[in-house]
Amino acid sequence: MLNMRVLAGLFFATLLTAQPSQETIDSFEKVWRIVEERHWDPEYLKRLPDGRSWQDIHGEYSAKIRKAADDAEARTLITEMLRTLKQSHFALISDAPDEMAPRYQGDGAVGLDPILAGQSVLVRSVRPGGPAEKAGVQPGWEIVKIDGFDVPAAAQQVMARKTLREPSVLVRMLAVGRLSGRPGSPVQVVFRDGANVSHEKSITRAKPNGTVAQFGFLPPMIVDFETRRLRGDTGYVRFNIFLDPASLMGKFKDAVASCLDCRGFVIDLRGNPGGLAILASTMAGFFVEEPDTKLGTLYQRDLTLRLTVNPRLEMFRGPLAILVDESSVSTSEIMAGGLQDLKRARIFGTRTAGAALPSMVEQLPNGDLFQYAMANYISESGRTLEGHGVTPDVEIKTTKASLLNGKDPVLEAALDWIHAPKR
Amino acid sequence: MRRNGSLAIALLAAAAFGQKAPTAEQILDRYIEVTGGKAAHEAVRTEVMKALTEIKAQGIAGPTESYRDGKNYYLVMEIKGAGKIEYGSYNGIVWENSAVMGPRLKTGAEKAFYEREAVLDKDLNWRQIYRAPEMGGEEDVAGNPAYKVILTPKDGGKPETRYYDKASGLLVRATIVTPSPMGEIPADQMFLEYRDFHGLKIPVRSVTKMGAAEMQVTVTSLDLNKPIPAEKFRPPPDVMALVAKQNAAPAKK
Repeated sequence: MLNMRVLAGLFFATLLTAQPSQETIDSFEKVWRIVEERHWDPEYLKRLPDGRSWQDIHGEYSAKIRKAADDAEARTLITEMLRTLKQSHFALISDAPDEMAPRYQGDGAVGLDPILAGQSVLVRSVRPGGPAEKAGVQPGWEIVKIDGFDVPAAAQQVMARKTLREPSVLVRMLAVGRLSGRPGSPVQVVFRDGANVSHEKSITRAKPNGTVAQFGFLPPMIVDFETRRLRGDTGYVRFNIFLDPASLMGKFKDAVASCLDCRGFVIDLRGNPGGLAILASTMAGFFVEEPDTKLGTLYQRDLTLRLTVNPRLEMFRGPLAILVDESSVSTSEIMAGGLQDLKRARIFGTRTAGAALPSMVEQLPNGDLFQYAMANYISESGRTLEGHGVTPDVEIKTTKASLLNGKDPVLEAALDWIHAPKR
Repeated sequence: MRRNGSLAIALLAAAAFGQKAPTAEQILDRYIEVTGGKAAHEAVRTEVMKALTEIKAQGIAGPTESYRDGKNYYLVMEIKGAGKIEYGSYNGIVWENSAVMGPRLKTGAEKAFYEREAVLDKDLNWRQIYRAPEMGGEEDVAGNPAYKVILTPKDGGKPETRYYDKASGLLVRATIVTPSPMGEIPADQMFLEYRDFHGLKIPVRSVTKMGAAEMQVTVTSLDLNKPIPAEKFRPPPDVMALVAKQNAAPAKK
């Protein structure tokens, strides 16, 4: 009798584990409801790009989720459901194991900046004095393996997934995540140089020069800021994300204030995935003097917010160049597109990701996070950047050959423009 | 004792209100009575409030402190990941400073709005700030009937709508329009959990909806009539630099 009870218990336990948890079902409902209640355009939800309504989608996925084998399958279905929106910034962020998910393993970094060029993941730059440079890594080298993880195969898989996000962004995040780890820990990286020769390097991760920032439910992230003087008279800043304003804005202000008499100024937003949208207009305040100038408008369902520029006392009035690429996302696009519209900046590089919807992150009942767009961004000239991106005034691609030659053609073009006798 | 007295007045007032619809002015005056009485409100000279501000759904939180002395106002919030956000009103300078927005002097409707907010006891002194209040009828708030009172600022600001619980006389909801450089932001506020502080009834929790965001403020301490050093209200150097620039600029004709 006792054995029968145990067997019955095991049977029911098996049944219970062979279904998504109630928390994950509740999470599905919450995800659907947030979109239903907060998407900025209720008309869009009535007729999605595939002709169905968001209400139809609920009926279909509600049934599928309840029949899912487990939480993992349910999560896949939630992501699939969000893809029907065909808009950026709708994502389920989960700690559940996923080989293709960006995996941040610690604050330590190797000091190299990866870029997806064609089918390859290349080293775009190495930080002077950083672990990668010390190990002899050169710009233009292809990253082949990170601790045995096949990078080209992963890049191909990401591109084949047809996710909501730009593949170049995901591949970059994937590589940066795999290269991260505990400061002092080694990572084995296989590179391929310009002559197709393999170089296996053991690189010891170091604490990067940035600050650790955490905002809301987002995981802790390093905010890395770099400033230097180019060609003797041109200011240059690069930062990897629009977060930690207390630290970032202070450094940005100092960089501009120390360069008020410079011939030109360059802001490098290549690889920058965005962050706090309002920082785009705050930074624009160092370059736009006219009060009440707007960098565009955010349209929520019941609220319209103008990105008004707050002119600063530290005002740079000279030529401004902004560098962008396919991995310049969100706030980067708002800043570049907004200043391009105002004819205050000239944009160099390649078309941006076209993922420019301001978003929020909420926690779900099962502990997963849900990032959702809650507004549309329209630039001052009426441009929708979502799905279109910012087309540079001067389009230049970074190639493997240029990187191997130690050249940065995008930056060079910006500097040439700044130094041109007649602009 | 004061509490029982206030309760008796509230019950009597509620009974009287049951017979005849009150005027908007009576509702505002009743609020003063049920929250401690005119004398208790008038005795307040300074106010130091400490609170926790949270946008729970997004995991955003931080401590908030506000200071008022009847002439000046200062508020500081420290939000993890966003840094310090400060507002103030000092000798006619109405300002804001934050890492997110930078230093700024408020002007026009925004300045007028924050000058109103700086008044030590808006509820007691409403006659100085608003035109004659209007009755907006009755409406349920959280399932309970409430009187709706519309207050229009004398300075030309947007009307505020306040909802006073019919039974208790307490302010339970307000809808306001906040002017900001980003545009006018409508806010819907709920006032919850009234508690006694030094003879005054104060709502210790408010929940404000603004667009897609919902912000909760929970009061953790309230000190009344403690001296506040003048330096507390003095704007930071970045703001004073803007004031100096403004003063140096030739006046517009």
